[in-house]
Order: sequence, then C-alpha cells, then structure tokens
Amino acid sequence: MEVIQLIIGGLANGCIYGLVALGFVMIYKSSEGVNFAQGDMMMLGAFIALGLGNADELGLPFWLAVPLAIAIMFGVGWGVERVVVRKLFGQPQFALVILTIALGFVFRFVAGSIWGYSPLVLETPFAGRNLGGGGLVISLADLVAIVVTLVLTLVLWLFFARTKVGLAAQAASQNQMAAYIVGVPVMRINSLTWGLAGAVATVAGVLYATRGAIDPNIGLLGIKAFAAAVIGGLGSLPGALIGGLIIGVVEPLAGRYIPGELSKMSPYIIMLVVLVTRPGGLFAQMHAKKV
Amino acid sequence: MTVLSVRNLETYYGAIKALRGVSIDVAQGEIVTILGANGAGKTTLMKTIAGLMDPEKGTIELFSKSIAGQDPDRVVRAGIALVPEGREVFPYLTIEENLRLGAFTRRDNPAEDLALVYDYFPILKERRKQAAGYLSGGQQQMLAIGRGLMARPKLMMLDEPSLGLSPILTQEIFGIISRLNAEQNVTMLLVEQNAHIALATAHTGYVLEMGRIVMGGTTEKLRASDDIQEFYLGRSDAGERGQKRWKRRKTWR
Repeated sequence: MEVIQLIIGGLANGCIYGLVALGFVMIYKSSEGVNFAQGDMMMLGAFIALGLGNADELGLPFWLAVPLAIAIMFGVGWGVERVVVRKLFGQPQFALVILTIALGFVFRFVAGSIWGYSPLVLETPFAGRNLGGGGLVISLADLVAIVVTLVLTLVLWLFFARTKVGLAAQAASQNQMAAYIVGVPVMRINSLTWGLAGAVATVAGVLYATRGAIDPNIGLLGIKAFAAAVIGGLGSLPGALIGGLIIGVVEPLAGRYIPGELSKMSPYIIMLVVLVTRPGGLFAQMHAKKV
Repeated sequence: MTVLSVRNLETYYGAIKALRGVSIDVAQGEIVTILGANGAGKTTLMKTIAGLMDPEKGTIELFSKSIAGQDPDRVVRAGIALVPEGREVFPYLTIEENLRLGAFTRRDNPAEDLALVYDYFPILKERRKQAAGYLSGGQQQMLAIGRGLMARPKLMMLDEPSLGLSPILTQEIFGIISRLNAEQNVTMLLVEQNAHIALATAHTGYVLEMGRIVMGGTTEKLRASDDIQEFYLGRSDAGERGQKRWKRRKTWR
C-alpha cells in the first residue's frame, strides 16, 4: 500500500517534470538549443497566476486567473523569441545557452522583486482536499496534476500531428531549409513554439503551486526536468513526458528505501545510466538525419 | 508570354561575388535549362530567385511583378516552387505529410493535386504512410518534385534533379519532367550538370560561367555550337581541334 501511495505522489510530481521537459524539447526542436530558463518560466507562470488570483492580490476567480496567466506567459515566450532569440540566429548554440541562463536570472529577480522571496501559497479550489479509499489517500491536487498533464499532452500531440501549423512546426524542426522552400514562415513558427513553451510552463507552474508553496527559486526544478528530457531523448515529446514520470516515481521510492544523499542523486544517476547505455535517450528518433 | 524575367542579377556569398549580372527569361510553357560547371553560380541563381538569398543588385520579376529580395514564403505564394538540390525532404514525416506541406501556402483543398502527383508517381502512393527518410534517392527525388507540384506553381525550378541517381533513374525522372511539361503545362527552370539530357529535355538554354551568362538560345542552336559540344557534351572526335584544346579559348571569352 505504501508503495502505491508513493508511486501516485511520484506520478503527480513526474507530470510536472514532464511538462517542463516538454517545453525543453519543443524549444530544442525549433531553435536547436536548450532553453535553460524553462524552469524559471514555470516559476514566473505560477507567480503570475498567483498575482492574478490570490485574494490579497488582484483577486480574480481561479478559473479566470489561470487562463489569463497562460495567455500572458504565451506572450512572454513569444516576445523572448521575437526580441532576443531571433537576434542570435546563426550564432553558435552556446550563445543561446548563456542567453537563456541569463534570462532565468532575470525572471527570478523580476518575480523576487514583485512577490518577495518568502514562500507564498496559491489559493486553489483543490487545496487540502483528499480522495480516500482502500487504505489509500490521494490528494485532489495530485489527481488534477495527472489528469491535466494527460489532457495537455493529448492536445499538444493533436496540434503537432494533425494541424497544418503543427505539421509545419515539425517540418521546420526536421529540415529548416526545406521548410523555407515550401513556404513555411519558419521564424513565426519559432515564435509560436516559444509561446507554447511559455504556456505549457505556466500549466506546470500552476500544478506545482497547487501542491505546495512557491518562491522564486522553484525554477531550479528545471534541472531535474532537463534530466527528464535527456532521458527521453531531447527530441521526443512523449519521451520527455515519460522521462519526467520515471524521475517523478523514482524520487520518492529512492527517498524511502535508499539512504539520503544517494536518493537525492537518483534522477541524475538514471540520466547517466541512460546516457551510457542508450546515448540517444530512450525515445531517440529512428535514424540519423540524412544529407 | 514571359513568366520569369531576371535582369542584371548580382548576389554575394560574403565577399565573394557569385552572380555577376545574370539576365534570363523564361516563357510560358517552356523548359529552360541552365548549364554550367561546378561553382558557376547555378544554385546561387536558384536560391536568389527563391528568396533564400538576397540579391545585391538587379531585378527578378514574375509576371512583371518584382519578387527580388522577398522572403521565401512570399515567393512561394507568388507562384514559384523550388525542387532543391539534394532533395531535402522531411525525413521523419510520412510521404503524404511531405506532399501536403508542399501545399502549405494554399488555402484550398489540395486533394486534386495529391491525386495528380500519385498519378505521376505511383510508388509514392504505394508508400504514402512511410517516413520519407526510408525512401531511396530516386524516390526522394520524385517526392521532392511531387512536393513542388503540390503548390500548383506558375514556375517550377528544379535544381540538379539527377544528383546521385543512376543513369536509368535519371532517364525516368527526366521522362516525367518532360511529361509534366507537355501534359500539365508546367513551366520549368532546370539546372543540370548532365548537359546531354538537359539539352534533350529543354526548349531553351543558357550557359552560366563564373557567374555570368555567356551564351543563350534554343537548345538546337546550343547543341550545334562547337563550344557546347566540346566543353559540355564531351565530343570525342574533335580531331585537330581537340589536340590544340589547351591553346584554344572559348569563343565567348
């Protein structure tokens, strides 16, 4: 029973890692670089939702505050691509890495200077409510996290696989020159991808905030999510989600059954094992790009 | 009627002038070929027309409307489809998805054109659910041509369609190119290293050397020219002329 309990909590956690990892993968595929500010975008999204929704802030209803926060963060992601990332077009990948690390700091200071550095709690309809049965206690927040992640993943999959724009985004990530040739406005597609990454990060942030207090440093969770994305293959959306779930589930189990310091390292140990045994990640695309 | 008219086009790669004032015309319903050695600027010319590179000077007009220096998606919308050198398919997407992307700039339903492409390339229909990366080189070339057709272009530009293909496949591809031109009335600009087949397929031709057009005319006239015979068709019975080849300058220099 205890194990099942741990696994459920771990899955909910893993969903959040998975969503942040999805953001890593989307941007990696469109801009060919890692957005190290992804975790901080999650943090900023959570704070914006808090600023809009909490009674002592703007006090909007929760169901209005969250979509609004998602829309704002879509705009932030879009704007970051439009104003800064696009300027780096043609520069080495490393430029984007440094840029996004710096952006992460900026987001952290912005959140810190507006909302302070002490932990705050997002007021949600799910706080403290549990579902019980058969000796298990499942918090409503965990359940919401799992359901929302599944739905969002399905929506994203439908978007990329079934819509014309989604297909164009895939095309642009597979062969940028060919995408230009068939008339895909690649730059605009990249902005859209960054916007989507911001929106997904906000969903992750709100889910995180329903399960505990937030402060400007929660974005460091992005490091674990990055490990999740690497485990999944850093190019595969389902891989990112599954990588997140693996880390999410292993963490509490390791925390329970393995001595302290070692258990904290468990996500990275998994990442190393995956990288050594399957360098392309668990869900690497089938074959290398042909020229 | 003139579809495409290029005048005094100059394009740079960094500091290197790749096109030094190129002027060509493509008439409605024609296949126009551009011959030239490696590095003559053929691909640069294609890329500049397609909007992938910006010209420094000169004009490019499609049906008398300027398209020089515009973004590639605008050029595609204006009616020019490029079938690039080296095919450049989307390797992880299925063949049908690749073809549908060819119609990305169109608002109407491309079902009719999809049927047309499958009609010309039955192998693509057979394998339409497979990832394009698994196709052979010849099939990828067919896919690239099919993708170009999906835009229903007013001008289709083919860059080196025989690249890396066996002689038999090359024949097959050029047979289809001729048929598309004759049956569907597709106007084409064709860049090709294989001068034999290019001159047999096209109606008009230009010779591009070192970024300049040095000769132009109907393909019959080009085929009859001594210089073309010697330098592009590799005539072996050059006799006396051939012996002194190292001394001789081409007539256009």
